[in-house]
Amino acid sequence: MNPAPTTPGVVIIGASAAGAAAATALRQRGYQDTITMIGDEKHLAYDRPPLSKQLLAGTQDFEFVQLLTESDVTDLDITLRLETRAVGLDIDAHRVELDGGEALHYGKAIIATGVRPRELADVSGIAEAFTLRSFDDALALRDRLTSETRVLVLGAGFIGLEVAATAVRKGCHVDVVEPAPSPLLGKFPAELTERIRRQHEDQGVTFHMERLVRTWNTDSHGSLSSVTLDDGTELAADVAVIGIGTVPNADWLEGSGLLLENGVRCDASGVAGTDVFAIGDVANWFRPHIGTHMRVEHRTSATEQAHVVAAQICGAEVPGTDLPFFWSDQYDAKWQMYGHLHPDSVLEIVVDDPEANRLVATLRRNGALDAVVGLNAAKQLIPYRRQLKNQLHTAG
Amino acid sequence: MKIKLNLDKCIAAGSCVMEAPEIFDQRDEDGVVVLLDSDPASELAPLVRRAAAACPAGVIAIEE
Repeated sequence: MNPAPTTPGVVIIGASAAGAAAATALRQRGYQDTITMIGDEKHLAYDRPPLSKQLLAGTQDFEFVQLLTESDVTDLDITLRLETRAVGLDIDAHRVELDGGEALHYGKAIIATGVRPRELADVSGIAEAFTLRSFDDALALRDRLTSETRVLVLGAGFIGLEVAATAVRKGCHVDVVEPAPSPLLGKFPAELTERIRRQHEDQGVTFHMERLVRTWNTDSHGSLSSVTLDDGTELAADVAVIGIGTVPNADWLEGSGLLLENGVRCDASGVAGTDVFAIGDVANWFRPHIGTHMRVEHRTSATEQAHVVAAQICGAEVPGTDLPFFWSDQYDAKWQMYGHLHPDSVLEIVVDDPEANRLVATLRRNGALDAVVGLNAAKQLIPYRRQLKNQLHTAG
Repeated sequence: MKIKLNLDKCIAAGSCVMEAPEIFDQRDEDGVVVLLDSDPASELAPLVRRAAAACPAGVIAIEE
């Protein structure tokens, strides 16, 4: 253990979107003490949503996704430690334990360690199988996706579908294998996922729903050559992309005393423990509007939660939470959803213009608006977004 | 203050419009941001900063 001065600084564990937003928000609010940020990647903070789109397509590079530059880090007076991993948290001693034995003292700690892709043990020895989470993943996969490449996408979630769309645009042949009966199960209104599936099929993607991969077959060089599904179907494959979900990076906190239940469990303002907060993909916040905890992996949530926590640390009025929002770009389809998807919500399509490839649908329970979904309808959603936002501010 | 937009990054979320409708609008055809005032009065600075922070794609850059 290194003897370290107990300066009342903030240590942010995680140097991606949420961590970067927290550091920026603290300085914007006039926070004067030290801010140390540690991240296990080698890159400065960058934005992940474009990884499955422009980065994978090869139309943009790192500068397009960069969130903090070296000069931002200097201007914000952040002590940044990259390629550094936290391995423990001692709440009583106010210490973050790092890989290698060093410890950092904190006045406040902000956990922003995000999620990692769920790995499939069956492909651990296969060089042509990829998960997509990091910038380095995107570059490696990008270089493999060329014209006529046969791509096996495992999982019809957002990652799988966006990768499929990008791959098709690069001239690849894509098969999507998914154990559920429809894509985006539980994540997107069921009546609309069939439209999404058809958009892909129109572009030549083949879906194998309610199927699993039974064997991953390699050639004499050990390279992926095909997969065999549980119904015996064999699909030629040069590259596989595994998009089967995420795991919160909270393992390192085991034994810390924090409640680790679907990530780091927090109250409605991101408080996880004494002088400890958690924000972003790893954080499971209590949601007063719903009455339960919910962990949200939307990009907008990282920034929003960072601002809520920064306000508390600075003793300022805590901003209200915003409307949940996410989007997905696949081919020429820009899908957007604002609000919460409830299992009991009833979908009503209010605009359906196939020529403009435009759609607007509301989700209601007993007439009350829960959410609105748009396809190429950003401006048309504005009145619904306003209504949802007003409801948020008048709710108890 | 001067506002600069990187339109390539815009994903049409409209967060900027919700924060500062006097400064930002969205195109009818694709919802991409439209700047209504590229050099707003300094009193509007907090609004513009909130809009820039709220943007989920880092489109808005401010020079103060």
